[in-house]
Amino acid sequence: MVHLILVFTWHINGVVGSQVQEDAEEIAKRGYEVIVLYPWHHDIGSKRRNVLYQPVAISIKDNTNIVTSVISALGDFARVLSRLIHELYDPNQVKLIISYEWSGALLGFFAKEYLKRPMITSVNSVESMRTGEKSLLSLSVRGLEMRFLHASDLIVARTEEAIVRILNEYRIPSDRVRLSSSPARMAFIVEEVLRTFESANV
Amino acid sequence: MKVLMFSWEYPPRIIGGLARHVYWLSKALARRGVEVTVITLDYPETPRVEHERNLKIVRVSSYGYQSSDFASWVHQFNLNMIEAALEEDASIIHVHDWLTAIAGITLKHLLRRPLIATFHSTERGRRQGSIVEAMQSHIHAIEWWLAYESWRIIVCSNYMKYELRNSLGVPEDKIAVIPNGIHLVEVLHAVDVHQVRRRYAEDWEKLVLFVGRMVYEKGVHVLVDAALSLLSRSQDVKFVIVGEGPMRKELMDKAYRSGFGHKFYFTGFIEDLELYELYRSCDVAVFPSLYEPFGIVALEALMAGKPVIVSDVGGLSEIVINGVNGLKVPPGDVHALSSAIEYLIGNPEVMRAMGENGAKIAREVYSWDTIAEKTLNLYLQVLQEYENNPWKPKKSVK
Repeated sequence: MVHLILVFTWHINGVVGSQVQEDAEEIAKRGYEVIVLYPWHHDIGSKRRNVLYQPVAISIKDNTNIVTSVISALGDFARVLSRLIHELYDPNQVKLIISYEWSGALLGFFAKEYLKRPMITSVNSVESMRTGEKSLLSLSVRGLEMRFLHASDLIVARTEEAIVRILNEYRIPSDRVRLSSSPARMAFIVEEVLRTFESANV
Repeated sequence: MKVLMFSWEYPPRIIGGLARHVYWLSKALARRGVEVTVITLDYPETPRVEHERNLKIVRVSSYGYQSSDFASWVHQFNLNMIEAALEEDASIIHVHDWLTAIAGITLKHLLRRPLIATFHSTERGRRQGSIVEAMQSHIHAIEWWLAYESWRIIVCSNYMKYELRNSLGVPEDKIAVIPNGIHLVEVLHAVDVHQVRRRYAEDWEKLVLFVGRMVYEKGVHVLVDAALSLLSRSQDVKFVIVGEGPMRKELMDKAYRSGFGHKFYFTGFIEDLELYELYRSCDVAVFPSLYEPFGIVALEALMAGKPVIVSDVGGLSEIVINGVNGLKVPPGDVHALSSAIEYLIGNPEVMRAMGENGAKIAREVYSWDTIAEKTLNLYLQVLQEYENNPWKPKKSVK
């Protein structure tokens, strides 16, 4: 039986996009089938070494800010997820959800809730690292970031600074936070979470 | 049958007409054996979950974090609605307006259940056809998407059906016209009409009633002009104008400057009980709207047994049968409106007959039991189509 890992990300390029692709390919080397859901900007290639890059066509393009952009994409991600688990695979083949940054965590959280599977969230930076602003938009992003980091079963910080901020600003219990700066370490954490989840369900 | 219904307002949280609509519809459906769960927003000192036989109300947090604009806030409370809904079972998802569209569309795909949407109005209609600002474009786009994703769409009038066709490009065969309902209020039968009338008018004056927001599209300025025209010919009439809004002061000034100020009574906002008393006590009710998707106020007046004069526009045009339960006049036509009022108040027998006809039609066509029956039939039709559709999921989550 295929063991599926679903990846939710808002970024497929740049620093976070590179992490997504390198992590996915490293995890796939360990025998899992990885599907990366990302908003379609351009095709980045088809299936590569057990990694399926699945673009999501976005319906709402007239948005007022990043918060309305991400949340209004939720229905599109749900549509693609639904096709994957109900037509191409079986919902029970999904073993784990990995999300990247607050936006990916928001999109992945509802798959976690529906499928009742653990979710790991990878954090390269938190809002206070990206902007020093105290705008309503920034506060809104911080609110969402805190909510969905707390909703994650495990958080993987990708830098020392991120881990400090996650612990201090969002008060996430330290036993739910790991540090990883490499795809190999990320893959190790993924297998650790899967083992824990499976033994808890036995 | 289990229905998950989404609305951003539900009593005691009342913003506009949506709260009452969802309240009476959900109750009437539950009476017919449908298990209805309404997911709505919280309200102070109201329990998070309430049960009443087949009806369950779940109130989620309206989100305590900061939002940078209205749409951000709306979408964030949709996240809470989705989370709450995933704990419920559903055979049909029914959302009201764009405000809960994100929850409805997301759950449609996650659960693979048919989505039904009721459009009470559209952004283009609310903005008189003009979509200019980013927020308006966003809402318009969400409305288009909700229409696209819905298995069926409910609108309250043929006028709204054409608006959806023209504004959102919705195929007509996807739209069901089910009018808004009206609650039979017992208080109507216990009104001391003589006493109520004396609060507003002299015994010899006919009482003409307007109810609505004091905004341009309600045409209240047309009524004031028609009233002044009529008053220049005959003074045995009093105009009671109920409602608040930006045009109120301007129209009050106009009435008083004309020298007929004593023939107008601008009440401002009044409580439901007083409003029902006024419906019951007036001689004729006038609704001269320039834009009106449905026109629930006209229905309330008809239910109270009163003839109505309406502009021949939108839903009003469909509620009133000319010469049977009221009169129709061209929208914005001061002369026609003035003549119609003069004709009716000068013919008490015609008013009485129209009032009786109106009450009968309102009871038969617009009771919530009738509306719930039509809605239930639509649900059954959708479920039948769904059962034979390959989109239905084959495996459930363990």
